[in-house]
Amino acid sequence: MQVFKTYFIIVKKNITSISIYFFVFLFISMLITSQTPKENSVESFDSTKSRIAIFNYDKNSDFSNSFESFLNEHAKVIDIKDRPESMQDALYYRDVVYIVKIPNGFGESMINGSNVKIEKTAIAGSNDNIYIDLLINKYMNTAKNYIENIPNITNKQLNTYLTEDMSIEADVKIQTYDGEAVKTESNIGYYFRYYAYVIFAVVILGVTTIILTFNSTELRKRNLGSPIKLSSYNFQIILGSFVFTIVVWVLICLLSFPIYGDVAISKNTILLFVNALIISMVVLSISFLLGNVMKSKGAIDAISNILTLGLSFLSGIFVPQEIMSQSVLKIASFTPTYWYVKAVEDITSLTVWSSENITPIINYMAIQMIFAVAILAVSLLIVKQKRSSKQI
Amino acid sequence: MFLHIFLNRLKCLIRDKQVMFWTLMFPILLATMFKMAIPDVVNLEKFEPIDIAVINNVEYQNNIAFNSALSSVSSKESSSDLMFNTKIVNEEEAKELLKNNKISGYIILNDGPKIVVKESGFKQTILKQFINEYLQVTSQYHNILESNPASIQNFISELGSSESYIKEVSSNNDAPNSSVSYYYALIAMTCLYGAMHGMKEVLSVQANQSPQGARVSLAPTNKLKVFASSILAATVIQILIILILLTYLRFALNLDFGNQIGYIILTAVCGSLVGVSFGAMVGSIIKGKEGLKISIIVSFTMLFSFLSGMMWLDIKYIIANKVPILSYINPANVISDAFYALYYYDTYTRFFTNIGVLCVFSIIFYLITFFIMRRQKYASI
Repeated sequence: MQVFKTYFIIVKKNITSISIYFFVFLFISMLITSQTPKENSVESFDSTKSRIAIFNYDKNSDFSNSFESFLNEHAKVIDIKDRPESMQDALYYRDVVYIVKIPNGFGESMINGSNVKIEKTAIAGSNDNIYIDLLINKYMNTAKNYIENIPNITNKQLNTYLTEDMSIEADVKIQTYDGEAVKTESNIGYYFRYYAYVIFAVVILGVTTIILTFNSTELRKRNLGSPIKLSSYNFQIILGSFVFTIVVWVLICLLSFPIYGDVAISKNTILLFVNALIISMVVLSISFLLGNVMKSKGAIDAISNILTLGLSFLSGIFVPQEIMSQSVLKIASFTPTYWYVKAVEDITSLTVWSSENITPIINYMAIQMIFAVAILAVSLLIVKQKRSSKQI
Repeated sequence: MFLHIFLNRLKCLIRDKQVMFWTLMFPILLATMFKMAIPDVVNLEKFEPIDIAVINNVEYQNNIAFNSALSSVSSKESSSDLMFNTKIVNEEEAKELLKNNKISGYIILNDGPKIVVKESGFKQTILKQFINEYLQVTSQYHNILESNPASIQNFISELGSSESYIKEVSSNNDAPNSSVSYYYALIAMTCLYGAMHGMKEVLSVQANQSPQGARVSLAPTNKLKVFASSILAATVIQILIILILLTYLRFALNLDFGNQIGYIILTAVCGSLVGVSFGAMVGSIIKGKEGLKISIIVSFTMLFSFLSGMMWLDIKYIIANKVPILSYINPANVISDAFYALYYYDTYTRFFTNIGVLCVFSIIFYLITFFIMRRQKYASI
């Protein structure tokens, strides 16, 4: 097993450049988890709270103040500075998604029944936008109803009514299946979507560097002259690449446990692992092909970056598939990563293990496998052709 | 002499296929892929009607108030206000639909409307808000009936006409259009790829790194002068490349970067300076083969671009909130931020701060290069 051993000696020499991507991935996954809120509680229903900012220029009015505290209860209020630039920044960076301005004299005009409006600045068309609109209009219409229909209603009574009405909440039941409530696993879904990018970057970089080293003319001449069968020589290189890929896969899968805690321990996660293993095999055969076709490190750097970024953008690793246009998705369906991402999405939303739900996932995996086998076949053909050709 | 070296280095750089690939072709290819994958931003966070079901039982059929409330938000006619796609089914069907993720939740009327969902989430929250509102209006009805029964007819007749109390005030410029950020990060990446040119120039004057370097070192000229003219060639090429890219983005891909062309070019020039000086620094610090240097430049540029939001926009926001220092020491982020400041702000304070930071970067990189390269003598190469 000299070739196999040599393989890992070369890996060791190149470990810094190979592990850069790995550590960047780790760092980014941690950022993602620290950002997104903890998993929703399973037993009780939590309303989603949008991040908003409130500027109340009508502090003297009881009506406006209780409206402000109503918003405080139903949304997550973020403090930002009252400067146009801070507001633009906050919206751009999605620190808040909605800015509410209560103009001076708003409460007074409301009670007099004149037409006044709350000023908002928000991200157009977003879910949060609609939700906060809904909240504000509900509050104001309720107030209007009381003001119009109960003449001479006192401020105090109006506020009591409003508080009472607004505190009425619908009864929500969480449906459970197999006695187990569903967990929202969107975070780990992100992690595994990005897995495809990382495995492409790490494995293509690693495997091609090593194959290229073995294929360098002098080394190859020396190796062909040694008393070792060519088939065994090739087999050991394939085995080395395989072991390398498996190690990267195992490491990333294991890392999901400390990062995602108990979320990672579920049947769904096992499926995610399997799916990740399959795409890793696709990447392995791509790297094997590149390593044997390309002649220089420079060319490989170029091709692998185009391939990695191109696949990631077109097949929904970076940009979610649901927002991409149909025609691009058609093109994307000719890439293995497209099916990988589809599988990840189905697995993370999988709650009931019925054959109706599982079959598509299995199909997506099978398509990836076909890619892996096809690409491997092509590269073996090339290796064989190279061997039988006279020029080394 | 100065002009001679300058012109010849210019030719050398243009003829270097690998470097031209990274600095020119790669960004253009990537930009084209962006254009394909990233649709108009308006759709990015578009609100889609929520699929729900309602159980068809006796209480549902008899509750006219609830029926009309539900149909007012799920009828096809007022498609702008369409909130729900509602199916009317029996309980078994509803459970099956929920189980297979066909609906987000269902409503069952059993002594008032109740909701059944599988998980907490945005759609479920909207559904809950709808039921809340229904219950709250019912409570209003009772309150008004209690204190002023004469007005109850008026209350009921006005129920359907809910008024909007919101006025949209857009900020100074267009609504934040986040897809442009991808392209900002891409331009930043291209600026940093100028590092390839800077690195090449260092190779060409370092005696221990290339035959040309050895030859140049023998010449009885001031090395700083030689280096200055070749680095100038690199900077000129890089600025041209950025201008080509900007033209491509503006006219071929039809992206709008605003009208302040002078400032946009200033940013491109400063970004290119940083890129080229970064490459010079890498070239002089790393003692190794050219391939290694290129790999280092490529991977660092990718890392910087990633962190400035080129692959995933949110990472930019996350870093700005969690590790703000990282957004200032990441040159790619400073470049893209300069574009952002230019586009969204009416004032130029933030823009010029960014430009200042870029100049500081460039000066630091050149100083480091200078201190490594000065007075180098080789006993043997």
